[in-house]
Amino acid sequence: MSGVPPDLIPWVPAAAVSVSLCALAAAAVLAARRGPLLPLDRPEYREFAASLDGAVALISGDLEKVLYASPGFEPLFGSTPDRVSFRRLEGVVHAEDLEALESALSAGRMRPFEVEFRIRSEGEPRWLRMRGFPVAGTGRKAARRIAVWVEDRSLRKTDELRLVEALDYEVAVGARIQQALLLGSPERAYPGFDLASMTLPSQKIDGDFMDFFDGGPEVLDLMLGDVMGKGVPAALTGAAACNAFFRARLSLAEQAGESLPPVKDIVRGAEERIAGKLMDLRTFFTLVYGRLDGKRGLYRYVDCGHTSVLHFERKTGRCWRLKGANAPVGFLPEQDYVEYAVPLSPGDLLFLYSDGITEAENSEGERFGEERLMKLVGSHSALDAAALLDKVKHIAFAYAGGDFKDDVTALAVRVASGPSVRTARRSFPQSMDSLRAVREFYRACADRALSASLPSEDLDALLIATGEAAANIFRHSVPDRPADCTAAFRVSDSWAAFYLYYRGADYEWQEPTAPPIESYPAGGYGLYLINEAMDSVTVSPGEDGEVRLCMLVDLASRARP
Amino acid sequence: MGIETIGAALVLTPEIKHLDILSSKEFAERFAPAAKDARTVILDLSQVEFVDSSGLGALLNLVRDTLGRGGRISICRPQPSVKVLFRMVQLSKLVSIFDGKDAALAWAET
Repeated sequence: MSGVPPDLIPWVPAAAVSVSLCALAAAAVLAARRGPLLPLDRPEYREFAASLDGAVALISGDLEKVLYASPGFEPLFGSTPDRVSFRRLEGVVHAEDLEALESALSAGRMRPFEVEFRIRSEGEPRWLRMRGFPVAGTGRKAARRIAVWVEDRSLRKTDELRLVEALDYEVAVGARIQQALLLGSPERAYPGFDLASMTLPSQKIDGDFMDFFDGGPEVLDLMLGDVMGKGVPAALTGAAACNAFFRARLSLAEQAGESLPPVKDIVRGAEERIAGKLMDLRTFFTLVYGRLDGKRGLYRYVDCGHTSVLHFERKTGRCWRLKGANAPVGFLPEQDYVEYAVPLSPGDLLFLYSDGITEAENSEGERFGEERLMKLVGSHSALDAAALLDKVKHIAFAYAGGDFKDDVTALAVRVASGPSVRTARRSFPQSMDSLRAVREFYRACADRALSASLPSEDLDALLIATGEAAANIFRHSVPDRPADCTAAFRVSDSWAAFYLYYRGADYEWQEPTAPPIESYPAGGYGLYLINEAMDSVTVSPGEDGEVRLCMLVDLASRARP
Repeated sequence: MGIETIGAALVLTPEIKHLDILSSKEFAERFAPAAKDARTVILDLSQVEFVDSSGLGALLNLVRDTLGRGGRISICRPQPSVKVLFRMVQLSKLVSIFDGKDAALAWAET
């Protein structure tokens, strides 16, 4: 640094050029106010000034004149400073960028600005970036001036545009891959179901996946999953998940022969193939794997932390959230999968969806939410499956202002037919005083409908379970004001279901382990007895504090030798 | 609620059809004091048609108290529905259960 005048700004490494250039601009301003601290126009500095990657200039407050410009100005603007006026930019600046530059400059006397614009030149237009700073002029009546630093961004801009194009291309390809590999469709139509699905891709590749497996004339397996995270890794994990389920199903089908492998065995088989890898990769997916059985009028499912399946029940005119107990696949090395079953009737509707719908936010950051979706599905339950999806799509899309952060994947199934079912129902005041009357109702129903098909011991166990369930509800769910609950019983040739519709808390019903009888605790048997006696117990929250308890007995499986 | 002494045993006979959450407190208040000094207790459930988990809890409290002070306790004549409940919770691991009253009285004399 020897020989450098003390008032000259020290040289800095290339990485700090922008800092030094800002300082140069400031120096130029100072030069205009107090004399030339950095006389870049003098011959001894010309080479240095010309080497700067950009130009410094001082523009008059009326934008008419360039009062000062470093040597880099002319190559950037293709004209000497005295021939450039920032008041008349037509023909110099690209028409599309004219308004932005004029606007920035007119405000530039008052506040700093940064603007990018294209300048006309031979061949391709060049991209310039201008940073401006208002400065006071010299003298008592001095007008404000604008110090600017201008640099050529053409090369970087081209790279940026290429990157945007590449990203757009990647997203487009990713979306196509997702559509082709992750979002399957049924191989054929099913007379018992009207089924439709939809996907609305977000601006990023997502990990939603959906697949269908044909299970026979009136049986269709369907699964909907969502991989943690986004982008290509999530999509690849989704593809691997689909593959794991396909392989698990294939392997189990070979072992099962003509009968279908149970739903929970399929999920467990897929878990065996993929959970360890997911844990190594520190990722996971949520999933609901279900089986529609049109002949039996049943929906069986395993839920691994996915969004609830909405069940619109035509008989009650209500929507219920079907939930499960399992953790997402990849959370644990292995887990015991719990399979649930609920009866379906003609006119019922199932709505499966990814969280892209419920987590869609409006302009105030409020989520669409499950309650809103339930009301929406419930109030349009008369539509066919495709029309319902279309309605949900449009309303959720409008709610989110057309901007979904996640993919929206949804599946609607309307039940068109089912087995012959007998039904009984009765309302009771929702209080412990009704306990014995509710038990008697269930006993009368079961004696009439099941005594011929079930051993008396099984029947007694079922009635113990229904009594426990009613007692649990009356004990834990005390309505704020007098309200009725409804006990119902439905039976087909292959299943029987005890229902209780009530108002109350959605507390944890699962109690899979037996209490330690050897230590004879005085309590803790109720939920165990219910789960021991019943083949499936679902507690489904509805709207406005309503809850549906459904305890199902699989008569077909009990009849097997 | 019947309470009688037959031979070496104090025989408690709940005269209720439902031993459940609505009646378990009454059961405990009636029988716990009666059995507190007995060395051998027989619970005759012949009149009880239904027991739920609260009723089971009351029975188990009586069993625990009796065994805890070094006494003996058995159950006799449970109705079919009640037997199903006992089987579901494996109560026979803890208490002798007899179909007939005579068998229970014979057990009391051993």
